[in-house]
Amino acid sequence: MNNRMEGHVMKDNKLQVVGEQGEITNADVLLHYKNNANNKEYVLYTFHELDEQSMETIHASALVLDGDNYKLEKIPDNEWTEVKDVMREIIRNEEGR
Amino acid sequence: MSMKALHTGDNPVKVTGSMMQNLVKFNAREDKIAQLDAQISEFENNLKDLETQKSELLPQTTNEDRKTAKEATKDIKGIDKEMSNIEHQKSKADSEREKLINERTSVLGGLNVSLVANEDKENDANALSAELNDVSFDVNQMPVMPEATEPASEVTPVMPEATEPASEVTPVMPEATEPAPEAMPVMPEATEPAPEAMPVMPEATEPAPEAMPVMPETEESAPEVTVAPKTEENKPWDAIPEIPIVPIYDFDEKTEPKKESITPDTIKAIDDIINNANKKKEEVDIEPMPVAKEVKKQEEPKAEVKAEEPKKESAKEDIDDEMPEIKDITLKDYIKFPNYQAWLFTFAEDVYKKESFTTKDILALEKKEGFVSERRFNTGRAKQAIALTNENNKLIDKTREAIVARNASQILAKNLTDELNDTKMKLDDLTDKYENQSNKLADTEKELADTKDVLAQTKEELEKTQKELTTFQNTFNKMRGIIENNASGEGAAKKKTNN
Repeated sequence: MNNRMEGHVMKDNKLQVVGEQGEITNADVLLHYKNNANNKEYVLYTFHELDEQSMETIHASALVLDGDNYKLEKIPDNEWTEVKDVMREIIRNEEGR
Repeated sequence: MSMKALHTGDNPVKVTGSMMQNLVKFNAREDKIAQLDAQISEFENNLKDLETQKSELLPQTTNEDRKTAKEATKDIKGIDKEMSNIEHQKSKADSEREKLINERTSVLGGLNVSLVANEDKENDANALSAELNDVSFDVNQMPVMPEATEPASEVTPVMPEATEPASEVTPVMPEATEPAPEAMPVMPEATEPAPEAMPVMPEATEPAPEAMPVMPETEESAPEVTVAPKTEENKPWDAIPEIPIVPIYDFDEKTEPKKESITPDTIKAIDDIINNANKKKEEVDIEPMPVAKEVKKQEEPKAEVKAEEPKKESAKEDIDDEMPEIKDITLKDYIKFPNYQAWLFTFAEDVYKKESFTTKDILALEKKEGFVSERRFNTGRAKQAIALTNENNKLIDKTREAIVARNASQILAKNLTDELNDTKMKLDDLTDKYENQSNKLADTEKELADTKDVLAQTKEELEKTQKELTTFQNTFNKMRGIIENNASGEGAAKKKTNN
């Protein structure tokens, strides 16, 4: 497995999410990885939104380079399953540590 | 600066606190690895710089000028020391990095993914390294201004000729970057009070009077005062400050107020009286003193202080045994004798030319001379000692009470700590169970959602099939009607034909 660090500018694990109206919301990046099978990059980030059961919402997007800018896109269903698998695997393995 | 990305869509998913913690943990490890990478790279560059400096200094160690050679050797030593220090730090960082990388590998398991880390951080580190490399290149090629190590006045401006031999490069003092440990003022004396500073009580050198009652409690109470040895079991108790226990036998010497009644001034006053008396004695030109005649008169009320009471048996015999020639002794000497009262009689007779003295006379004489008799002195001391003993006993009682209270507190604290630890363990177990259940719930929820999706899809397909079936059935019915109509038409025609 290739663990070489490669990718993009993401200082201090912060991500500025620009909305459709140009509004910016800061998010904390939890995981940023590339799927070696399809060469696509995915970002998992959070705005620290908690529900009544103290469950936190994590947002996952495909990170796509569009010209000089990056875009966060919705992950297609077939890829989303894989992303969830990655997430689950990391959480499970980290739990056992 | 953060990365900006236009949001066009995302896939939200809810996770429990513990799941979130695990993701954060994973992320924190990545940060640490990036930091270590930067550190290691910096260490490597520093080592390169130092190696260059060392190689430049090496030829100077054989310089004919002994001073230059000595300085170069010293500088190299410093560089070696710093290099060793950096290598140690680098090796530490390397091993930590390796450990974290292994952890990461084990967490990622067999996933076919590559982590995309903060490249900018890495870039920063690389830029820094490149910068450092540039500096070290300059060090090799250009004359270095020795601003860091030498005063400005001593700096000789050197033209930046690229061909200049490296030996002219001013050695950078590695010591300047580190505070010399020797420079730390360590004053071990400051933590201990100088023994000279302890006020010395003049009375402390005197032997304790025999009349001083010895407290039986001193010996007995010692085991109670002893603090239980610190074992592993009572470690948590260490947090409870121990009550300082003053050894009981110290009370007499340290707190005895007797020193207030017998001060150096008092001693001086006594000395003056004795000297005056000696003067008077010389004035009257004393002949060798006869044996005291009135020794038997000593029936003084000395019963109050039994320990100091002169022996009841024949004082005369004692006097006979101990009495030296009168020429050789003074009043000061007299008081050294335990039965000096007898001597005082003799002295008084001699000085005041009286045939005999009663106790009353002696007391009056003592008063006149300002002399405090040993009896009174001892009586006073005995009273003080009794008072002190009482006070001492009170203090002992208080100490005992404090120790009992402390022991009770310690037991209570231990019990509470044990209880707390139990509760904590139970809480940990419950938290684990809760987290496991939460994880299971999240998995189940996910499966449920997936099943719902499948169900919805199946339902949709079913509806579609049903619609198709309905259409088919309608078509079938229509066809059937047509066939039936046709059949009935044909039947009627046949019937008609038959007819």
